[in-house]
Amino acid sequence: MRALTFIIVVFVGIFTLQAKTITDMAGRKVEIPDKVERILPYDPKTSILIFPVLEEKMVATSILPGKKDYKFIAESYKNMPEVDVKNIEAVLATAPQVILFGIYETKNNTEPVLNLGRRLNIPVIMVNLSLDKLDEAYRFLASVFSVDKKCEPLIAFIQKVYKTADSLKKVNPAVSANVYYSIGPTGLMTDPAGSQHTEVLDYMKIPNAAKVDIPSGGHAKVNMEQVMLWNPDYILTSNFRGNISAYNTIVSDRKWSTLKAVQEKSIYKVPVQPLGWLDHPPSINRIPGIIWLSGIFYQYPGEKVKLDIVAFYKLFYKYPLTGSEYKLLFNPE
Amino acid sequence: MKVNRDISLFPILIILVVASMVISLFIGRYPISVSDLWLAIKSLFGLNIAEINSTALVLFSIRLPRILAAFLIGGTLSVTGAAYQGMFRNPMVSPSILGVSAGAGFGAALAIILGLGTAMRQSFSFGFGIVAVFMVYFISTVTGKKYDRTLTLILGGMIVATVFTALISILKYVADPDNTLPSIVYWLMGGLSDLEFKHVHFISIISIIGVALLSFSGWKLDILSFGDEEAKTMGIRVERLRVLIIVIATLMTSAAVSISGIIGWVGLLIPHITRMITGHKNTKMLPASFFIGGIFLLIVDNFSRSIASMEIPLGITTSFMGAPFFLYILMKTSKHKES
Repeated sequence: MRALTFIIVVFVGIFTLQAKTITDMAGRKVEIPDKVERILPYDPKTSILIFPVLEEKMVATSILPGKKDYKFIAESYKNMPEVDVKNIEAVLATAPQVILFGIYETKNNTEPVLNLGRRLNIPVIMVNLSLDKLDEAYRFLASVFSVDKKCEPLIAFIQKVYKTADSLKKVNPAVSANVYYSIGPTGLMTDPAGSQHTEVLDYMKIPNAAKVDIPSGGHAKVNMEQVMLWNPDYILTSNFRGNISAYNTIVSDRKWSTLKAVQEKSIYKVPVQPLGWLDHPPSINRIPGIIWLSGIFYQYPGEKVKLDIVAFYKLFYKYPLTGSEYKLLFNPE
Repeated sequence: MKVNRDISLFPILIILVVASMVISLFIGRYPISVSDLWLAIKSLFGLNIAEINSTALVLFSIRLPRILAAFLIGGTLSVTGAAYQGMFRNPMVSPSILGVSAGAGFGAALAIILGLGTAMRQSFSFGFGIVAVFMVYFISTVTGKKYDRTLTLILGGMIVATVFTALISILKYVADPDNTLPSIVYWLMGGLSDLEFKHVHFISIISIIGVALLSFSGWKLDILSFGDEEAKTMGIRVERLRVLIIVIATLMTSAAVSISGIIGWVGLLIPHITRMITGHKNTKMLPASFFIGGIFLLIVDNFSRSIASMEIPLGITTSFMGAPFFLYILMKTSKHKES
């Protein structure tokens, strides 16, 4: 009996020696190994968040369905193995010590990731990916994984972007123009006001033209009459995967021609390389979106926009963006 | 009294069609005042074309093609459903019985995944709808020697539809959940929001020729209702009739589905409602079901496009409005029979 107690005590002792308890950004107490060397990001939004600071510890990236070619990001990201978290054995094969999962202030579905962690007995750490808390996310990563040196320049950059946006919003408190955000190939699908996909617009206090009377998580199908009724001043088209058919329809089709945005040629293609600037996935890739919209709606000077964007790509995507590549972002071939 | 009703049915239906189209023209999200309307009519006749008139645009480029398409698609689905019900001698049959919807759905989903435009999506969907039915027909000719032909066609339809449904699921599974997946899902729920005049030309030619041909073959279908052997002894070339109906109905349904996405229920429900009004004679029932189906889908689509700022998929509105309507008709006619 004494021997058994001794063994238990020793075991528990070793265990506690190697583990530490942290509080993640969802307020959960999580016990993780003292030295974490193998991290699995659960989904694409978490992958891209941790890539700039935890690249060496990442065992894989996560599949972003439908996305094949990543441009303007370090080769090392493209070359990393991809893991589909729905395949539990594939996850196990990467032998992660922790799983990282990005959350938002609301509307989180944490059940699948918690189930995965429970079944594999791997701790799950939640990181807050809300648009206005990305600096805190890196601060958190720095403290948990002791990567302060890598995180500091990123935190400084994000805070500068927040500060600039705040001062721009103060100088010009209300943007009167409204924006129609077109997604899909025909232009008649939109992410309405309040949807999680248009958080960048909300953050920049730019009114979304699409107000729908049925609560929608996004991707609402609308008809031409309704768009005419909203009569947006600006149209942003999401050209995911470089498909610009919606943009082409909007600039050339007679039905769209009566809209203010079309008459004043205020139609933009949202840059999507390597990841969308407004969403898809909703992660750090939205920071360039804030900078870009500052230029369009708040007269933030074009050369500053360019400098900031180039700096972002260098810091977060580890990619030196050239002048011609910068132009390609806005006008993909 | 009975004779009188026979003669007056089609004029009444045509008046109803025109009336519901005119009324539909004034239903929609974009408000149109009387003075706007006058301007729009002037611009239509070239009196005021200096600037593009929004009202004219809404009425004639947005609403009118959609109204015509809703009518033609509703009519097409109903008449093909009615023809199949006659041919299979089975009231539970709908136009998609030979896998055409599943095939068309796969074609559309494939085009969406490949990032092709609207025109290609329609071509793909039309093409795969035909391919699916061709496969079913092939299966039924291979297996049909030993079994009843009707049975092998229906079973072949189930096999092909299952395969195409699985293929659709694969495409949905690999689709990007933020962009292509909703496009596929919405397409499968049906809707006419992307509709333009150029799509109407296509469906109108196919559906008008198709309705005429089906209606002229109606009397043969009546004879076929006694069974293959009886029809043969009465001089009907059963196999040729069957091929003719399958070819016409497939072209019609594929054309309709390629434009609207999948709209269930109309092709099953409207023939029954029509039969309650016209009786079982196919020569009369087939054209009547075309008109009634057209009016039905037109009314339903008016709701789809105008009750909310979001489009309500036609698959939802047809079911919600069709089910109680059918129940009402059923109760009403059953009372008739009792009395």
